[in-house]
Amino acid sequence: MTCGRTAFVVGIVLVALCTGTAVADAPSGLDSTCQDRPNTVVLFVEHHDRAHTDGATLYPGTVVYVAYCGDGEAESPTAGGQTVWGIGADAGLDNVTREGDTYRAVIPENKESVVLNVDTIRNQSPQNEITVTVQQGPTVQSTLTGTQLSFRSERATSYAANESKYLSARNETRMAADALNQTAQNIRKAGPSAFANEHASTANASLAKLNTSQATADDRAAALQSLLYVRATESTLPHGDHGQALEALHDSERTTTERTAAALDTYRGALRSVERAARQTIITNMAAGLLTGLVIGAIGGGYRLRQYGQKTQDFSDFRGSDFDRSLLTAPVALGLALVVGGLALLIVTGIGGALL
Amino acid sequence: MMQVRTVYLWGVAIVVALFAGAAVGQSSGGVASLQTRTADAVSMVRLSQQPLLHISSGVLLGLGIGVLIGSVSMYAHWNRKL
Repeated sequence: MTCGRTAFVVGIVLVALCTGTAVADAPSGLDSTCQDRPNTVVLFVEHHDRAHTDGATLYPGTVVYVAYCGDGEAESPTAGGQTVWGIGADAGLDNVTREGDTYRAVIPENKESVVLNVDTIRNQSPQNEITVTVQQGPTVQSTLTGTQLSFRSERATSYAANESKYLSARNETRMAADALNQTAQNIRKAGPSAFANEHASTANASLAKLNTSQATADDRAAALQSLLYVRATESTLPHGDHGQALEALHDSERTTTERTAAALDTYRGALRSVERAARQTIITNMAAGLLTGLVIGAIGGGYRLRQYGQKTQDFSDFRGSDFDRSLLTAPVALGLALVVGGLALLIVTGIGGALL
Repeated sequence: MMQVRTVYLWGVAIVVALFAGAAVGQSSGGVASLQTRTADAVSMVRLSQQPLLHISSGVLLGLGIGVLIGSVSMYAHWNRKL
């Protein structure tokens, strides 16, 4: 008797649990929907009670429940281990799994529509046909890849704007690099004077343009990478349009950087040649002055002592004695003063710094 | 399949991030240093266009060294002779 009561209680609990599960899984309103729709396939959208029996437009990734109404009530997909009804692969739904009296499925991204009709519902012959149009996100014609990229809502606008700004900045960077390259070649041909009078300002303008446009291109490229990467990870498409766009962006940046680096190297070489020529001019001029000064100084410095020496030789009183060392004081002091003065002039005018 | 795609995307993202960082640093640093160097080169060229200044410095130095050499060597000569 006790066993019978226990079995009864357990039975009640099991029934309650099973009923609860069924209510939780099945879309609400399923039974009432099926009451006046015999042999009808019905589609419910997750979190929405509305039943679709003819057509709908849904976003990719949307979870739907498909039910089949038999004779006034929802048919269970299986009964006694046998399939009562099913959904064929040609319907176009993703991740179809059974859930209660329905099939749970996901609207795919790589199809334009999903069709549930007599051809795609297995083992039953529905009277109706449901055509789900897959709502694709807004697309952008990418100049980088030459393909159309799909995005969700406002990201398409953001991508288009960023790509446009990136391409504009990239082109400006490349133009500035080309201009710098041309300036470098002109500097090599024209020499230092033309560089200081004309080409330096042109080169500075190109460098400034290069700096600003490169910074803009880097910022826009970072924004594009972010948008593309987020979209690429969201996408369930088998082909990787957004991954390819990331690679195209990477290639574009690399090409620009290589071109810029080459232009900077060429200009650096032109600067070296200008500096070398200028330094050579200074050294030549200084050497001429130094040689002249050296000759004049040596003759002038030695002349007085030669006179003293000859006079000393003429007086026998001094014979055998040392030549007076005080005679050196004045010329050595003068010589040192001139050397210090020369070095000071080199430092003050910047010639010394230019030669180092 | 999904894992392969995720790994691929991460790979692309890492390469792009590394490359972009390196490129940005190289480019902006290179441009800034070249702007400074251009100004220095212009100053050097302007300086090279003042020959009188170079010759004067050379003459001054040459005179000083010449006076020292001439006087010391002449002193040594007479000191030895006498």
